[in-house]
Amino acid sequence: MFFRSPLVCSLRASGQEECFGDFQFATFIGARDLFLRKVYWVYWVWWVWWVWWWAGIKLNGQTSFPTGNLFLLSLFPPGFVLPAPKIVFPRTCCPLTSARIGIALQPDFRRTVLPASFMPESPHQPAEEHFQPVAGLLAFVLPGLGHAWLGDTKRGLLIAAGILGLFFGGLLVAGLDAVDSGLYFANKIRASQGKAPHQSEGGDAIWFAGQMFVGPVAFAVDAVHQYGFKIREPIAGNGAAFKFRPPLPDEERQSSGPNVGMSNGRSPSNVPSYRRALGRVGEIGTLCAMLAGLLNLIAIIDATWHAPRLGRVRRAKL
Amino acid sequence: MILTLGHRFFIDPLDLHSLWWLLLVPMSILIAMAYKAIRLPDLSRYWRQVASMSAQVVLAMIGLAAASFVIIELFVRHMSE
Repeated sequence: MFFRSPLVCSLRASGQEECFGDFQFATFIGARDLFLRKVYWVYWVWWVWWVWWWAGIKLNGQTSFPTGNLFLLSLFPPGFVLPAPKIVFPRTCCPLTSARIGIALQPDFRRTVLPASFMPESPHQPAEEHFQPVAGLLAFVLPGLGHAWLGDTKRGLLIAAGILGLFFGGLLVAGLDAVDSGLYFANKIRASQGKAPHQSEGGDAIWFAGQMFVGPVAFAVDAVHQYGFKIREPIAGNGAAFKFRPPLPDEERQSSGPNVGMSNGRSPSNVPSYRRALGRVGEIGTLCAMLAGLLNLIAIIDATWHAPRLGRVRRAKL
Repeated sequence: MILTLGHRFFIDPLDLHSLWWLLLVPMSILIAMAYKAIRLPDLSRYWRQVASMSAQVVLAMIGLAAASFVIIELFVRHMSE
C-alpha cells in the first residue's frame, strides 16, 4: 500500500508529475545522470558519516575519526561504480516536498516517470545530450547567459533574475559585508608574483567559496569591498603589504592624498566607510549570496552538459 | 526598522534585526525561481511551480522551527531537570 500526498496526487492528475522526478534514481542514460547520482551519493556519504560519528560519541565516548566496516562500506556505495537499475524511492518520505529521503520502504516499480530532461525521443532512445563548454563558460561569466546562448532565452532570463536577485538581495540586506573573500585570491596572485601577502581581518573565505560561482560579478563586488571600503593599516617592517580590516563603528577612511584608504580619525576630507552586518541580518545576507553561487553552479553544469528540453507538444506525442 | 539618513543601499546593512525572519520568504521565492528555471522541462507552468516550491520551503522551515522549539523547550529542559 502506498501513501501518496494530496499534493503529489493533484500534480499527477494534472500531468506535472515529471517535475517531481528530480530526485528519482532512474535508469542510467547519460553522463549527467551519472554525475548527478554521484552528487546525491556525496550527500548520503556525508550524512552517514555524521550519524556514525555522532553515534560513536554518544554510545562509546568515541571522538576520533570513525572507522569500521559500515563506515568503509558507506564510502563505496554501489551507485559510485554501477549504474543503478530502476530504483524509485517511494513517495512516502516527505508529503510536503518532492525530496525522496530515507530508505525505500516499498519501491514503486509500477510506473517510472523520468525527469523530462532525460525524456527520450522515443521509448527506446535517450534524449541527446551535448557537451557545450562555451555555454558553461558563458553561464559562469553571467548567470543565465549560457542558456540564452543555447537558444533558450526565456529560461536564461529567469535564471539570471533568480540568481542575480538572490545575490544582490543578499547585498541589499547585509551590505558589502556579505561578500568578503578575505583577500584569499589576491594573496594567491601576490604570492605567485613573489610579493608579500596582505593581511586580512574579518574575511569569510569559506562563504566566498560558494559565492564565487556567481562569476565576475562576485569578484568585482569583493574587489570593491576590499580595496574601496576596508581600512588599510601598514604592517610594521613591510611597507609593501597592508593589513585590510573592516572599519570600527563610525570610522572613516582618507579619501585623498598618499594614504587613501587609511584611517586617521574624523576629518572633513575623509569619507565614511561601511557598517558591518551583524546577527541574523548578516547571516541571511551572506547565505543569500552563497546560495546564488551554488545555484549558478547547477546552471553551469546544466548548460555544459545540455540536453534540449522537449516542449509540451513533443512530450504529448510520446 | 530605522533607516538613517546616511544609509547607503548595497553598502550598509539594513536594520531588520527584529524582522529578519521575514527575509526568508523572498529568499525562498528567489531560490525557487532559479531552481525551477533550470529544472523544469516546460516553462508554461513556471510561476505555479515557483509558488508551490516556495510554499513548500517556507512550510518546511516553519515545521523545522516548531520541531526545534519542541525539542529545546520540552525535551532538553525535561532532560536537564
